[in-house]
Amino acid sequence: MEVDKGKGEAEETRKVAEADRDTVTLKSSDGKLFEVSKEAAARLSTVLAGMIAGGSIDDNGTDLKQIGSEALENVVDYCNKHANSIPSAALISSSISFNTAPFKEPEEWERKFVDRLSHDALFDLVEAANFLGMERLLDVTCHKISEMMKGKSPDQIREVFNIKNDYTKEELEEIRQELAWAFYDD
Amino acid sequence: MAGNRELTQVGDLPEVCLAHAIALTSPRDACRCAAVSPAFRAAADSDHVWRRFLPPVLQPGPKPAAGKDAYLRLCDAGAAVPVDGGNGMRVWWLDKASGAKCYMLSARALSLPWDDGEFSWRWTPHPLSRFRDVAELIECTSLDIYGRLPAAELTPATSYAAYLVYGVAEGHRGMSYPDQETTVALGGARAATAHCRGRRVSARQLI
Repeated sequence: MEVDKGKGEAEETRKVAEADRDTVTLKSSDGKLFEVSKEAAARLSTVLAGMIAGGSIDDNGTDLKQIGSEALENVVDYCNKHANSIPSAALISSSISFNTAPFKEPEEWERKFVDRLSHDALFDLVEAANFLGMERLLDVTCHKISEMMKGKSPDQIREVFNIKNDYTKEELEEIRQELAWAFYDD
Repeated sequence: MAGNRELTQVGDLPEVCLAHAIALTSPRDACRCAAVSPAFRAAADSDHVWRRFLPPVLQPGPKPAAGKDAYLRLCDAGAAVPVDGGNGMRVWWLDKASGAKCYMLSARALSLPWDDGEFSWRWTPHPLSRFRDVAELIECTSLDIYGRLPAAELTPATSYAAYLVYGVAEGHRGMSYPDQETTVALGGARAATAHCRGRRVSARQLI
């Protein structure tokens, strides 16, 4: 399988449909085109796998109206990196299930991949992974978010994510009492 | 996300995504998340999160039935559940903050020294014990007590503490010297030893 340069500049290198292409072209909500390995896309995304199998892939760019170009670029980047670094098999699942199987820790490259993202890019990528049924990418991005929450107080979590406290004082007190055990430190 | 350039907030994520992230923290973190905002609370209280915190053997099959309430019920050490096939001699519950499994062995599950004859110990009910009876020491020349637990049943990557729970009778004698010695071993390898003079004997061991 020939993994293309991918990485965003795909639109320049995109070739007119050949009989047997081993890449698919994806189009973001803002009209940018990205090329991704067909094998990796089918393996990592249940939605893309379904589209490829169902023949609903458009050689001129399959519309993904829900995904912005920045997030789609990260999705494509992840697929291509994945195709290069993991000896296939493993991590394949037939449907996204938010399963209860033991969580598999992110690989070193996966950590680096999400660590460089801004919060906004990370959240956009979570949504894109969810939309495309990319279970592993969802695990890796959600793991990153979980690390930002671990061991923190509600105030600290609000600060990290820049969340406004829209609870009333009374509501907050009620929650604190109900969950008192969680607010004591070790 | 698409089109509009308004910044995505973590609370704007689909609830199931936020729940997925919270499920990768710990029960204590999940409860703190519930106090962050209503959107966080909805995700943090969802069954998706709490199903993850249940030990694997209890995670229900295709029909999920267990949520936060089920989790909290399993954290009630007072209502600890007997281990299957343990003849009621071993009970377990969950540590509330971490979801780690805790075990307690009945004195009947320990090996006690009977070298000094059949009157070394007496089996008797005790009002503070959850078990049918406890072992009361009558007389012995050497006190050496063992308890065994399958390490595979413990929660991985968790720091455990082992406690010997005992009471001292009025007018007891002979317990003050020499120092008591406690050893925790894993798979035959001695992992921790502690010498204590006090009434509480404990040893810590990182699994």
